Amino acid sequence: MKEKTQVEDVDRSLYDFRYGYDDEHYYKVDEGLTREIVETISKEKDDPAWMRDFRLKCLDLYYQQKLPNWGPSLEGLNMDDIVTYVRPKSKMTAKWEEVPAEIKETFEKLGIPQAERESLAGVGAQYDSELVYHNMKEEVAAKGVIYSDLESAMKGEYADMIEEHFMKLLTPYDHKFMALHGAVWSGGSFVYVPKGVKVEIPLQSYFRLNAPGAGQFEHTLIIVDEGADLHFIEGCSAPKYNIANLHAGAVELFVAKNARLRYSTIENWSKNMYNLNSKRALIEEGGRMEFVSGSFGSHVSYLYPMTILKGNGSSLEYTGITFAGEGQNLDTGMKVVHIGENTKSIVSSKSISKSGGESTFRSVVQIQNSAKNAKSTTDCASLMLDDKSRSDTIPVMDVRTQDADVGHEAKIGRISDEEIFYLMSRGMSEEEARTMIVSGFADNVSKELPLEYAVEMNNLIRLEMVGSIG
Amino acid sequence: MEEKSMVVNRLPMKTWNRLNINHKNVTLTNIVKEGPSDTTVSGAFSYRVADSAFDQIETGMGPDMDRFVSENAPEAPAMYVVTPGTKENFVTVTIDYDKMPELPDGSYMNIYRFFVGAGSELSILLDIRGTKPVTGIVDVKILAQEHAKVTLVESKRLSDQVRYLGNTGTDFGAHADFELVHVAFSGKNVYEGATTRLTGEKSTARYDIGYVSSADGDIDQNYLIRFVGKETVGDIISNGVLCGTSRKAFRGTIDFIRGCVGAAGSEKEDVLLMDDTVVNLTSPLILCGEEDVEGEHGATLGRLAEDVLFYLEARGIAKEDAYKMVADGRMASVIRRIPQGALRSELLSLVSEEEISVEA
Repeated sequence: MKEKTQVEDVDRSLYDFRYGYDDEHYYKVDEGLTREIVETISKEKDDPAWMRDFRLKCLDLYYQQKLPNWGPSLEGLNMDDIVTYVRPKSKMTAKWEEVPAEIKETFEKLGIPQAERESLAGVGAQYDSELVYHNMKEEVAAKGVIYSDLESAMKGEYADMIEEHFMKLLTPYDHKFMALHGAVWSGGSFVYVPKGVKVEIPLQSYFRLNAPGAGQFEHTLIIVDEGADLHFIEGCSAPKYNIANLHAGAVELFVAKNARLRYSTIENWSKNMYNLNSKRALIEEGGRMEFVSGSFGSHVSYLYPMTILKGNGSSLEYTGITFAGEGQNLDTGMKVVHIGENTKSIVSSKSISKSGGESTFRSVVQIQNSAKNAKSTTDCASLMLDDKSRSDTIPVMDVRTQDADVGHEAKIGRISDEEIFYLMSRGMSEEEARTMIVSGFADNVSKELPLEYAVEMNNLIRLEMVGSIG
Repeated sequence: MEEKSMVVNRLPMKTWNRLNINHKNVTLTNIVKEGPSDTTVSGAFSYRVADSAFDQIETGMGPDMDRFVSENAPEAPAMYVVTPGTKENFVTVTIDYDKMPELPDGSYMNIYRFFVGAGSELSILLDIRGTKPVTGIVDVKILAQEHAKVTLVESKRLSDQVRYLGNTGTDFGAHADFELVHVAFSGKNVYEGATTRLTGEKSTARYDIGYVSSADGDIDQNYLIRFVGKETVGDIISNGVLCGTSRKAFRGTIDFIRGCVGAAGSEKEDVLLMDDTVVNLTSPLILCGEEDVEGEHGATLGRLAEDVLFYLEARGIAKEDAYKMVADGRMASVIRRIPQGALRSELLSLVSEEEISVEA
């Protein structure tokens, strides 16, 4: 049997860096969750009356609901220690030079301004609980595309549209952390793409959680109207602290008739983060939803983007990868509900476990009786890189009509010695060979990302693979 | 009379509660009588009271069912001990509920324990039948030593009046082989669970499962193979046909325990849905705590594949006949795994007689 060498810690300094945090430059509420804190947040945000009432109703629902009795342990998460609202003492701006120096430096280090210049139609940057920067290219705005922070949009021309859609798809009744989100949400983006408008290059929101012991509860609401087309990218990271941070954001996506939305995420939270994020999409007739999801960070993740294929002929393509390293328990996957006739879903998931990391692929494909001629295929592959890690696959298929084709395939295994030997015989070191094989394993995800994000993902894999000779 | 509510067929790792697949709730009463049993034994056996080693064997239906069996067993279970190194050992049991009086508030229980000595071979056949409104419980545990070979065939021919609970747990030593064949025709509620622990290195297990539901039946299954020893091999293969308004939940798990270096496991489920009012739930799990393993699962659910249907229709076979032909073929593929020729022929003839309709 082959000798195992020591697996080193991963160098994550590219993402885990932090600048000094001091209370002087930030406003924050007390730790914990009380009615007073929720009322303070509502006042801070100058909520309309309906939103204040909604927050308080959600708080009641939070206390009524139980923690999940499945999935990774949430023992290390104590809401009494979490600060639910932190904002820099600066206003949001559309001019990069007006962003406070320290925050600017953080986002520059993450490459956000450069990406905006080179490849994005618009950018929103959230620091802790509030957006600090939001901007969109003029030519995109000229087409009638709305991309703004959610709070401003809620008080402007689109107030009715937001009230009609906000937390109607993801409701506070769904689970405890959606109720928590409803009570303390802050920040996030609103996107509206008018009928027939195709946004040629992506919009991006980047979420950075900087304060120790804080929670981030941003809400993203995207409405892609009939025949329109959008690619939206979401990036997330945080510095590493010794205390738990919490992310319980919500993403609601409405895709109208014959519209298309691609939603790409590279999630790279630090390894003290509890990532309990929820995403849900409602797809009308002929609409198409594409989820591309890369989960690399956080201590614990519960992440299952859900798609409801309501309209006839609507479709979903989900492509995801999860990389669980030391100290990580990443429970990820997807849900799809077929309601309309001739609906179609294609799911491809990869997971990699290393250095004691635990990854779980959890999914449900539900074909309702109305979904005549529905088709669904799921392909799931897991790679174990050492004998200290875990990888579990927990899919469920719920089929309620005869007139459907549902297929599911899954495989688990390790990198074969033959593959390593082949590459080493061509001059590679063992570490290079393993990194190349893992990158190849993740290839179907990186192919779905814009080039610069694919490069970032491959960098993450390379970082995670440092010292992985086993 | 005391009612006992139990949670059986637990999914080895929980998922979303609202999917109703994490477990099955079952209620039984404490009125339990010894089940009918017409037994033929041939080979080298001795008998004694089952020892505590059997209490440690994990079963498919789980701890609640184990407790119910232990607390309500009509008498202390006897154990068949197969003499080490012997071949040609057979136990054939016919359990015909129609030979017993109706027991509307209670259940009939049959308990079997087998200790299979090193290097011996054992073939067990349980032929279970019934048309009366009864609840039948059959509880089987097998402890097999190294190099043993065991085949367990459980055939159920039940009317839609019968509620049936089949609970199996086995543990296999090094180089031992296990083959399980479960065939079920109808039954009102058929709840079954089987767990095999491949403790010894190079031990193997193969499950072949085939079922045809009744028009409004409820089938609930939990099949699990745990890979513990090095280079163990296990496969779960299930073929089902669902009709009418029947509901079925299949839980199939291959669990690679850390240390089972070189193990390989697979599971495959194919379900043909014959009517538009069926409900099919499938959850094929792979749990993996070991790097050096190969595991895979696959499932196909729904109607007949378009290319198969086209092929058959192009040869003048009506759609309804094509469905019946494929359904028969799937059941026949499982029945052919039965080594006992007489039962195999009997069940094969039943397949062709089984009325399976398809919506035009």
